[in-house]
Amino acid sequence: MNEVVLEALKVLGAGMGAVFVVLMLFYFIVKGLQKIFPPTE
Amino acid sequence: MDKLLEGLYGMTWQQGVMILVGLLLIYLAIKKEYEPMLLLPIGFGAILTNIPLSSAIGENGFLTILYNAGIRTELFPILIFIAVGAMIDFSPLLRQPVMIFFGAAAQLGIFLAMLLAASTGAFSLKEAASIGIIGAADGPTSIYVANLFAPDLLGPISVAAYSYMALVPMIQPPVIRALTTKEERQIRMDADYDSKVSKKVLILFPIVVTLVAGIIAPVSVGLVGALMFGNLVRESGVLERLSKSAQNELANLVTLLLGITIGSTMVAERFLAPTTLMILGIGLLAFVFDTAGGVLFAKFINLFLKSKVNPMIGAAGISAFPMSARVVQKIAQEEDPTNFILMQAIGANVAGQIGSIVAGGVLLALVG
Repeated sequence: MNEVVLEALKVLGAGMGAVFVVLMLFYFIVKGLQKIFPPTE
Repeated sequence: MDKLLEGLYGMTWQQGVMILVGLLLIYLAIKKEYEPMLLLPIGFGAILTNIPLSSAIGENGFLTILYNAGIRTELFPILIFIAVGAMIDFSPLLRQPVMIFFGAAAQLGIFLAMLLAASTGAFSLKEAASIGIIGAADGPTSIYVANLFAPDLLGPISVAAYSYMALVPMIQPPVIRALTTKEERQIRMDADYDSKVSKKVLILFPIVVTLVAGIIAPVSVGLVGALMFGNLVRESGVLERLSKSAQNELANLVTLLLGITIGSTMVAERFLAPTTLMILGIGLLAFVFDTAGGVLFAKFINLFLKSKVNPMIGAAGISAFPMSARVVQKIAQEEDPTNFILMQAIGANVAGQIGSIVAGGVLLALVG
């Protein structure tokens, strides 16, 4: 396996992980915002 | 007389082929309505560029000036992001924030396509990342990343990104059907989309997301910040005129210039290379992997849920809005005409718009 493929594999793992972590963070942000500012009628 | 025939004498067969490619793109735009707003200007730009001795390119050619001012500086994609931000309504996602995870899973195609491109041995890691970003199903993100990492491949990458976005209704259904059973496609989901979202949440969301994404990956501020700025203008409620301008005049003008400028990168010597065919092939697979990633993720979380998710929702986690959500709803109705999962699909689709930009920022941070 050449170096570029190895690097790409690392980016694949770290990249998907990072996307999930960041979006999970956004999920908690939305949940938090909705708790602080519930919709008013 | 020779002066008048200079162009004809100077024509190479490669330029002839590229002019035919330009005509094909124009045909697809007009006749098939495949992303006409982009493919038509790209096609015409390709023709202008490949006319022998064209004055549209070269040091003082208007396409070169537009390229240097708008693409090399990343200004055009950034302006498009502002316009797109002003068009996005995040409320379907904010009503069902759990959909955000589908927007993450469906980015799998970006990274798998990058791996595939790298494993061909024909591309460097940066070039492979630029090819992978076709899987973002998001034209401006593809242009932004490709221009930074592999400007020479910008033409084929842009053409692939926009063409496959237009082909989502053809690419996604076979993948969805192959990975789901009829019973799974008939799953109904709780129709809990009557819940309201506070105006304050709608306003704070773009600000907080920009701050968080910017602090985690400063390199993504251009991408995320421009999108969220557009959205803040929309949601603020006090800038209606600016919001409408961003959604209409800005979007239209920049799209016009962006398309024809991208077309100018389709120079025969660079475009007519085996790598172009590889980019088009891997780009197509990126969309397939995206769809598979979203569907398989939904099936995986179904293992732990009491109230099951229709796994087709996962396929809507790509950025191609609203085509992908429509595709999912169409298949759901083919299986059961009384099943409505459009709102959930729209939520996942909006999440895909955020997910693709985050994935672009992550790639810039990891590979840059």
